[in-house]
Amino acid sequence: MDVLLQQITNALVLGGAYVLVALGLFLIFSVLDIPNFAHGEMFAAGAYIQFLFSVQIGLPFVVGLILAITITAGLGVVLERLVFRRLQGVGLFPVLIASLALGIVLQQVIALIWGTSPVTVPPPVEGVTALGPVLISNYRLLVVAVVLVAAAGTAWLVYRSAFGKQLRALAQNRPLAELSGVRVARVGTLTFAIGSALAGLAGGLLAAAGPMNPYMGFHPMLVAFVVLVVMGAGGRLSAAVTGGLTVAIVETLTAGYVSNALRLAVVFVALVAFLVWRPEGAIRQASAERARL
Amino acid sequence: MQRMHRIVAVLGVAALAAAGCAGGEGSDGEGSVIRIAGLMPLTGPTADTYGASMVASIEAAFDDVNAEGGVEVAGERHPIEFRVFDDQCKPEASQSAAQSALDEDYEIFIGPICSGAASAVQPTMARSEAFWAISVAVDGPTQLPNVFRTMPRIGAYTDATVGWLAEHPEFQRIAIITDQNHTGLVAATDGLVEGIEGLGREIVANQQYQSGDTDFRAPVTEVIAADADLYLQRAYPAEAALLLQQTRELGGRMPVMWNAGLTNDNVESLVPDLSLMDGVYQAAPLFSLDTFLADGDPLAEEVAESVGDRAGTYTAQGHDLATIVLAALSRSEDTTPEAVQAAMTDLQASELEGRTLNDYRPFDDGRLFREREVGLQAAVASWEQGTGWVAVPAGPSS
Repeated sequence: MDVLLQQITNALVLGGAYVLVALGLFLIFSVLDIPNFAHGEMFAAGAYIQFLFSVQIGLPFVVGLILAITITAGLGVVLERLVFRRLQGVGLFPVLIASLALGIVLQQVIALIWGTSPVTVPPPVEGVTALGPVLISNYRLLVVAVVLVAAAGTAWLVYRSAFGKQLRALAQNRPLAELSGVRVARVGTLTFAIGSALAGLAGGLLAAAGPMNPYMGFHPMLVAFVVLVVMGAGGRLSAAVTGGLTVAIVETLTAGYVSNALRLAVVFVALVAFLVWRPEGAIRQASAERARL
Repeated sequence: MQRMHRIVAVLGVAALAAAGCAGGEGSDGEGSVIRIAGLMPLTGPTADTYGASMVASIEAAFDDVNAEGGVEVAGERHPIEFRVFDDQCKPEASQSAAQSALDEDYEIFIGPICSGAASAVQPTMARSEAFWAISVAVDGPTQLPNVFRTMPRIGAYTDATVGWLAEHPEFQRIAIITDQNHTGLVAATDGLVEGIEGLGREIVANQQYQSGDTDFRAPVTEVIAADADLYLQRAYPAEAALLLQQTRELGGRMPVMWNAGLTNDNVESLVPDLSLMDGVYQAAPLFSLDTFLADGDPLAEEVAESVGDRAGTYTAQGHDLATIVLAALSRSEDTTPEAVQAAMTDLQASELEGRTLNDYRPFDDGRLFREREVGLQAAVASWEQGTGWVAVPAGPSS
């Protein structure tokens, strides 16, 4: 039983990382219909910006984190304005290819600046906390807390703020939102900035969780896409949180009780089986109208 | 008559062209340039860890020889031109890099230096008439008559680990985790398990993981729950460091043994808290300069000086590899791959005495190679706080 509790705690720690990446991807996809395959590299960029400021320049970790969030948000704005906005209305395929290409470019830029050798950022908090029979590092505990705060903050922004109302309007019906006076371009840019900032937050935080390299964004991005697909078109923000944690639990329990080598294979087999059973995803749309968010 | 003049002119031009192609031999014992292709990662995740240090040490060795006019082959000095083709340590990229080099008429190769890449290039090696000197652990390529390996084969990792375990009866319950993308280590896993069980020890977990994984808490939890008293973490450097961190984070205090060949610098950059390194060992060939420098080896100090800040994971391996190729060239009848292959086959271990960092033991007939393999062993090193990796003297049973 103790081992099971430890494995579930391990899953929560892993799931926290997935949730942070999935939240940003979900926002951008829901509002702007952009399957941003460069999102994993935004996450990696956040980690390397944290490394730049907190290790190479020597600023406090929190300052590095704030700069990671701000700079990746800015990078998101630049990408949205220079690339994605120009691809509106040309169909999904060019957007997909463009985002994949941008991801590769970002990866190469990171490799060019910082090299490919793994680097680390020391965590700002050390030690391990024992919660009964379960052990969790204090830094991981902090990450889980930040994930919860970030998810709650994003939910407030989307569902409770005036900006969130515009955002949801845009997600549901773009032409109607435009006719109703929503400044579509501005909301689109801000959405991209927020989604990228969440990737920057994830990268900046998880930079201290282990060695990082320019290719570190691929796995969490892949999982985030699994979460989006499983959620389906009617999913709300809370489903991204639940989805991220569920994938982490399946992955961890497979690793702990079946085989560590099969952890991802089982996730993807489950994904395919699930889609065969329920092709529209877990959460159906309430009506023919798009009702994301 | 006019036709005869034309034929003579054409033959003359052809002769001049042939002389030009031969490399423009000088008149005072200076031979043609020997073109050597390197198959190593210049980009990709292993470029900095493996590629950079290997390239630097080989270049340094060739630069030294070139400064003296080149390597002497059959009485003539030949400058060496070393060009690296980026194989990214990946199978497809390696095949393509090898083919590019062959298309450019390279006939002497150093590399690949990654197991997966070497396995992928093996069919190309078999088709080519080139000479290949590789520095990987995986079995297979040296079955070909034109491929020589200058480092221990993968079984040496197992021999070093099992030999060390034989001297440490306190470790009875052993857990293993292996990178399933490391073809060499995966192939050696059965032998390792047999060796450990042959000592009467118990394997309490035999796990695998994928390169690039970052979360090992689930397998680590399983190992701690199984009460393992030694954890063999057979991983590349970044994953080895992460495995160690997560083992300690979850309360695993058992000694850990790596096969990754991490340098002191790797450890300092990958393990933020060096106290985690207490009780960490490595069973691997001595790839880097660290253990030699800790031992006060004067050749290691010389190599360290010539490589400078480009020293790294494969500096010792790279230096030894280049030295062996140079030794073979200098006893070769000419610079053709067949002649180099013959020279390599007959190379005596005594010819390398004092020139290599690793201790290349001669076979019974005094030769360096038998079946294109060297008689070099892997060694166990332990982490000493304040010093770094220190070679553990091999006992009688190892």
